[in-house]
Amino acid sequence: MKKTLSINISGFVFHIDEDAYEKLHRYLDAIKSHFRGFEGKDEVISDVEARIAEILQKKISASKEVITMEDVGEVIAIMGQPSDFAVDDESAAAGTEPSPYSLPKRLYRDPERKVIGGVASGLGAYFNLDPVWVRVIFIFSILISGFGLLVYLILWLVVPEARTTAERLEMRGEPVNISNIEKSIGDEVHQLKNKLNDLTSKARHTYRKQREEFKTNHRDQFRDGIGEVGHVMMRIIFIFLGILILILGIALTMAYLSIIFRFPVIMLMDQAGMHTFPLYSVIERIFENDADLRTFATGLMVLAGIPLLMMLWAGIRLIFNLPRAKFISGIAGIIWVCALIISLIFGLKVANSFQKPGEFTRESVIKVISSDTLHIVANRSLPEDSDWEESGDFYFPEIRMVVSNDQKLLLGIPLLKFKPSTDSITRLILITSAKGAFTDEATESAEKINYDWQLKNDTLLLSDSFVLPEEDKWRKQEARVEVLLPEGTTVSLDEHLDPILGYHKNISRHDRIEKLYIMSKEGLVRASEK
Amino acid sequence: MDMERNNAQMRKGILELCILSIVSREDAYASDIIEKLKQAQLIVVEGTLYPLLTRLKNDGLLSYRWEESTQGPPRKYYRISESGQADLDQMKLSWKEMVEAVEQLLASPPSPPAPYSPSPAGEGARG
Repeated sequence: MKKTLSINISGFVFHIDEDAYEKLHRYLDAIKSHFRGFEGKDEVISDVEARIAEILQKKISASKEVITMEDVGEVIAIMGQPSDFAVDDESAAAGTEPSPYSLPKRLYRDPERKVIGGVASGLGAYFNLDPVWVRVIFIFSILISGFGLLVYLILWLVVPEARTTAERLEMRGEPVNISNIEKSIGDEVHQLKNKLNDLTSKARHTYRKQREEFKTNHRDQFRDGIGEVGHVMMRIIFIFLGILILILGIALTMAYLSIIFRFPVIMLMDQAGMHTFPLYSVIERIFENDADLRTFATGLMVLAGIPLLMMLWAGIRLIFNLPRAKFISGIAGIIWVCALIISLIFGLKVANSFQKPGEFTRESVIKVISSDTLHIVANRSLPEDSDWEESGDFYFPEIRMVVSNDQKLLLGIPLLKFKPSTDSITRLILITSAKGAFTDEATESAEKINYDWQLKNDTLLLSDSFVLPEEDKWRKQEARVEVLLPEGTTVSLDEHLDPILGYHKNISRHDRIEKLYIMSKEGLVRASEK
Repeated sequence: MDMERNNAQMRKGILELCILSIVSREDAYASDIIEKLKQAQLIVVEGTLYPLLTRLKNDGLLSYRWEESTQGPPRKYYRISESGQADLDQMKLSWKEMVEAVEQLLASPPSPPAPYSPSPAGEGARG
């Protein structure tokens, strides 16, 4: 037993099976949408319906009161499929443009155009909106209250995904008929093929471009969305930022320029006041040659300069609302990387010159004549402790070096040690060391170090510094002066030996004046007071 | 333009000609027209016919009147109009010309192209 419906075609009543009705209904819908936009549409449709009614009338008789699936099939065969209708260009082919009022649209999630769950694209298809806008709405509502998230999740759970082609057509409101489905599938296959072909570089290219467009579109949409007031506020904020950055940039740039152009060089603040530090002349002594130095300096200049320039540029950009020039950052970046590489290379080159140690030892005999107290006195070239500020020299105790400003000299500070001699001869052992790229180079440097000392009667004059000759590069030259005294020798130590005196167990720095010391097996000890 | 659409366009033009011709001989219902076409081995489904008929009517080439029918809803009885007749004659002429031209092209054997010979110096287009 089947259920029947009563329908009215062209003013005639028919009883029709439920399934036959579905088929007929869909057929008529297909025809209607086929002629959408056609000028005589209504007339044609009524002609068609009249003809259908005529055909069906013939099928009805006393013994057959109901229209069946076969009848509908025959009708369709006679009338033809909509795709077979030759139509004018004016009316669109079956269902390419879904109109907002077209056939039953059902809300589905769109798996083909989904970003997360296809909710936005599904909604977009249903309301004929660009899914982008739907997503913007969602994001806004999420930011404001989090409500949007809840809505999205609910929709995600509840709304089904349009999986079959028929469902996809329904989602877009396109009539579900064979031709449409075929077309849809055909499109999908075609698309798939294209996608596979384009997957490599083309896809990447397009993706990048689309991201750019997407970003630009969104930026513009964001701007439009903000509205006039917000716009003005944003501009004000940007201008402030811009000014700040600009000021900072200018300050840094001035410092930077003052370094490069060697004149004011670096000013160091001291207790006494400012002294100019001859940075450049020191650096000159480190680099192998002028070219190296210049290249390295240029590299550093660019390394520091480009960020500064970018900063200035950003400040200006913000203030005047200029567009970004992509190629500027690109070029700047490339130049900066080159500068980095160059600086690294030459920096490493310099570091390389310090990698191997070299040592040179000279031993001399001190012909001490009298057996009286040997006075050890410093031959002073270094200023007094308190005079450092006024001297204009810079003392770096860690590396035992002095930079003398007026003569642009590099002075090294030797390390003085007293040790017991193994025999009865007084000796002075000078151990010099230096660094170099190769061991023999280092040793050569060490050899070149000159240390002055003199024996004058009963006074041993020890220089408190050694000078690096002008042609010599600074290679961490060091000098250790070991005075070997036979046991029992009495010495007095000049206070000015302080800068060069190394650690001795029994010698206290503060308390040495007028004191005498005797060399013993364990080193210098205090002699009993005279 | 894909072949299907191309064919459809062509058929449509030809169909209009055929319809006008049929109706010019005697007034007819849509189903009569289908019948005559089928007899001439030009198979069309009825769905194709109705839009064409409506357009011809809208363009003034055909007119119709309603005829009651015992077997169902009233039917449209088509008749050709004066301008329809004029158009028909025009279309017949164009058709004949076109057919002749095409037949000629299809029938004539392919002739080899003339061998290329450069014109001697001094002759020709040097101005």
